[in-house]
Amino acid sequence: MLDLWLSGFLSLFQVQQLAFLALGMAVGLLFGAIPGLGGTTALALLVPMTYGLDSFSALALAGGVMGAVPMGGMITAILLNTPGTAPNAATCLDGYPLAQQGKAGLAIGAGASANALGGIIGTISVLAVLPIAREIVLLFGPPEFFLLVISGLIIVATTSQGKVLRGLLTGAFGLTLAFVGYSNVSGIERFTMGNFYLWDGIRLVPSLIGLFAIAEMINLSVKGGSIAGDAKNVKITNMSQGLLETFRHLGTVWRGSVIGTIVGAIPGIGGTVASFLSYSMTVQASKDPDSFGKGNIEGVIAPEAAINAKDGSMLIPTLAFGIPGSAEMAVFLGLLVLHGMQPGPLMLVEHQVEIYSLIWALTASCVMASFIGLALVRPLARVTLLDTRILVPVVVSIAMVGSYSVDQTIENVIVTSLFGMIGYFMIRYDYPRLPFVVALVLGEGTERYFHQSMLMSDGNWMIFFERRICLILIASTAFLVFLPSIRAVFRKLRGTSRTAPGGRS
Amino acid sequence: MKRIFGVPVADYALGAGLFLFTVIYLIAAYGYEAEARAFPAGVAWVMLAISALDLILMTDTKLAVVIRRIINPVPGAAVTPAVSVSPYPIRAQAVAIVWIFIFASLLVLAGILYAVPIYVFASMRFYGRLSYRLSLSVAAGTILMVWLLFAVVLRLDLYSGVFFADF
Amino acid sequence: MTILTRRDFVVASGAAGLALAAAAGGAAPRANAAVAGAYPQRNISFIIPYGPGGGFDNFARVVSPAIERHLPNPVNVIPRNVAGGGGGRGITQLFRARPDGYTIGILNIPGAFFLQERQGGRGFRVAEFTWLGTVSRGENYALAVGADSPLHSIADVQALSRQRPVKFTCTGPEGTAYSAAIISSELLGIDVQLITGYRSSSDYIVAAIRGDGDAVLATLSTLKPFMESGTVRILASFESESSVPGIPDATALGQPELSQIVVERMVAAPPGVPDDIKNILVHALEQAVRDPEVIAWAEDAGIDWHPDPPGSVDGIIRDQAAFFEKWKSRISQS
Repeated sequence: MLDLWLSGFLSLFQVQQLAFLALGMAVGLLFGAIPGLGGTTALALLVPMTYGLDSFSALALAGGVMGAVPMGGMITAILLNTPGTAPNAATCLDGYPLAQQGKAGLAIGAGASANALGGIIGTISVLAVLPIAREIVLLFGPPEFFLLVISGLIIVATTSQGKVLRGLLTGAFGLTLAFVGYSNVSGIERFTMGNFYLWDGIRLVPSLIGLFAIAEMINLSVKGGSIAGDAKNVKITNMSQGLLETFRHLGTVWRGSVIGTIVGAIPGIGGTVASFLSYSMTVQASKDPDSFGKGNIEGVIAPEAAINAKDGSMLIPTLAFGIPGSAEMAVFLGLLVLHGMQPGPLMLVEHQVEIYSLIWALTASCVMASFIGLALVRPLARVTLLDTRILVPVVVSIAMVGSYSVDQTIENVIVTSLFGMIGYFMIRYDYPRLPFVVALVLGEGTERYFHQSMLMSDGNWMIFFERRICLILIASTAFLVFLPSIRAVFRKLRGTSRTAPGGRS
Repeated sequence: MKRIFGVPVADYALGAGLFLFTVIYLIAAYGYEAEARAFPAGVAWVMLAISALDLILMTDTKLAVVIRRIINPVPGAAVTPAVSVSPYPIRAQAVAIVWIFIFASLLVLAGILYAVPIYVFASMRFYGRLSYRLSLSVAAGTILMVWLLFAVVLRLDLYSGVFFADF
Repeated sequence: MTILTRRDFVVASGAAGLALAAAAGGAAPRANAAVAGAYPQRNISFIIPYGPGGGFDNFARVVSPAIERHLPNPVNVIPRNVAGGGGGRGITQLFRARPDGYTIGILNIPGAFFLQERQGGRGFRVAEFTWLGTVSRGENYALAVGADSPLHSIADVQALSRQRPVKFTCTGPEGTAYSAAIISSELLGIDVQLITGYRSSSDYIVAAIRGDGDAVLATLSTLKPFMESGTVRILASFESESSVPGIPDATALGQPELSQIVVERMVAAPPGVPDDIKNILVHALEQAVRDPEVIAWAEDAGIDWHPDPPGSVDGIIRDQAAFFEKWKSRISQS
């Protein structure tokens, strides 16, 4: 086992491999930062380039890309409320308020180190789990997935501080939109009005770009000035402070990484949910939940740790069974096949060294990308001082083109604009966006897994109560949901008073 | 501004919008057969109830007070304030939103290569009231960046718009 | 107005520029030198109606450089993913493109037929495409069960079917496994219930291993890695002559029609391409699928690569269309 780790590591340390790792990292950083582009596009771009290469170089390139993308996405999320990739949307929630307070440097610094730590923890978890990956994948079937999805929805909806009703409302809204499109469960298309574009439903990335980036740009146009408010009061804090912050909140890093690793391993649920769930649960576990949405540094650390942890674990179903958990993984799968590595049960047996080399590449890229991010903190943070009259049109342009480029469909731009308007209203009228996003991602899974479970059990609802993992999931969700009530009771017993509701999410 | 149930009309915008959306969605859902509409309709009914509750709680009526008292004792429940939360003039907000849709329409009609510089220039010059020189140079810089990144590096076809479409 | 010092700006843009340059350099467009003379004069688009990373994507990308090598003039064949509508968007785009030989695409047959049924012929009519050839011989299906399954033969499956419907896991009515299951179960006398909703073939094969369903139908190439690792047991192959030793084939089961259930990867051009251009493309494709580099790649990837005989494409599409017509109503009933 250890010798495999070592050979994987050593195979990475050749000049050519390192060069490709660096190239992948640079591309990943850039593509991660631009909304609409991301790991999927970066990999899709580079895959044909790897055609003649040996597998190790190709994997070093892929690992480089996948490890660096989240860091790129984090930077625009914090500075411009523009999630570079979908999971980074959770980072916007507290990262952007920090930038508005002139603490962009702090946020980026903390996020970068959370990135690195989360990635390392995720890697260790993956390496530990890989030998039993197959067994784990086989434990989770449609009934388990259904309960997971429901739990995710419940947890996120109930942790909207003081706004549970509106949280449920926006969550329901997300669910209704999730059902738009063709469903291979029933074989018909719903709510599409015969439109080709809507066959595939409401795409996540264009709606997120609208909901977070465009909405905030509208907000800035109305407010005027610059992101970081009054230029005189701004201090671009340096990175060491950010680094220290992360180490002060190691519990949050740990929690985020664990959530990221677990959720990332579930195909189809993946990244965005991991980061939002990590955020929600950190809010819930915090002693000061109402400070979230206003610039609590833990609100940056939690999702970023989760995002990088998930990168490693997303490989598990992909490598173990060739089941890609996301579009990015699907492209990565294509890369593997192109190089004669058929993912599946054989892969873990025949190409072990390559796998470990990939995982090392992923980790190395993640850590190095964090360093580069930290090095660029000062110049990057200056963006928050730009006049919005210049900043807004430029960001809107790039965001819209990015939205289009997700799959080269111009209708994405319309979706983005609509969600920009809706997102703006959600900011102004204080409706939480978080449950909406999670519901949009998980929505169609709810129906699908339920339907499959019913077919498996011939309509018997007891299937959710007969399987071991299902019972564990029900128990843990109930525990997590009632946790705040339990803690409130304990607090009352100890005599501390509850703070007033509020906050923005 | 006119008030309905003691609250400025504009404050109802999103709440009312969501309610309306749910009604339309429900009507559409009942056009499908039972199995296909089960989940969407189920969610929509719940959403209708929550949305109605949300709207009521926004108002300044006795009903709202009663309901608030009912759900308040439950820890963590919503207490939506009956206070206007939009401190900016409606017109300013509407204009900002309209600019986004103008850009989107430009993109669809004229394609990326033309829409981006036109929008950046127009927004800076007419909306932001900045100088011609600055507006032109930023517009040029932006489209150059977009072109380099998307067309050259990614070799994506930059959408050429309905007016200039190839087929 | 702003405190953006020149130095900071230079540093940031320098870094961005470096990254851009790296990406641009890493993905530099190939030289594009068209020679004067007939067709082709410029780059050819190769539409892949799915997102990057799928089987069709790989095939198209591997075959494209080979096609380039066998065209009379040196131009690029550029694969383009046009995903959406389950493939419908890309296929429609191909259908509507100008029939000048500068747009070709790869199609899943009979998948495209199903799509046309499902989408009401909204954008394309499969029968009207200009067919250029196949990428490799059509893939047959096979029936498999998880390694832990109590079923060991088709007879077992048939016996089970008499007690209760046999559950097959598959994607959905738009997929080829769905129709394969309906057709084959009718031919084999099995009462079938389909558990739909899985996202990909790997997904529903793993589902069978896990026990969500009793059995699964998939192409042989998809099943092979699972079989070789011992997680799946193939009960029957629908080939006319089984390539897997010890497993009954369509002939042995007395149902030769089973071998007509195939997944073809066919290359087509928009309707109305002039014959001279069509012939150049047909020839280039035929040479490309026999190109030594392509064959070497297939060997490395463990893919069974058997190009169809030249000139067979029209016959193939005709057979597939007839087969689809025959079974159309039975499939849409379910």
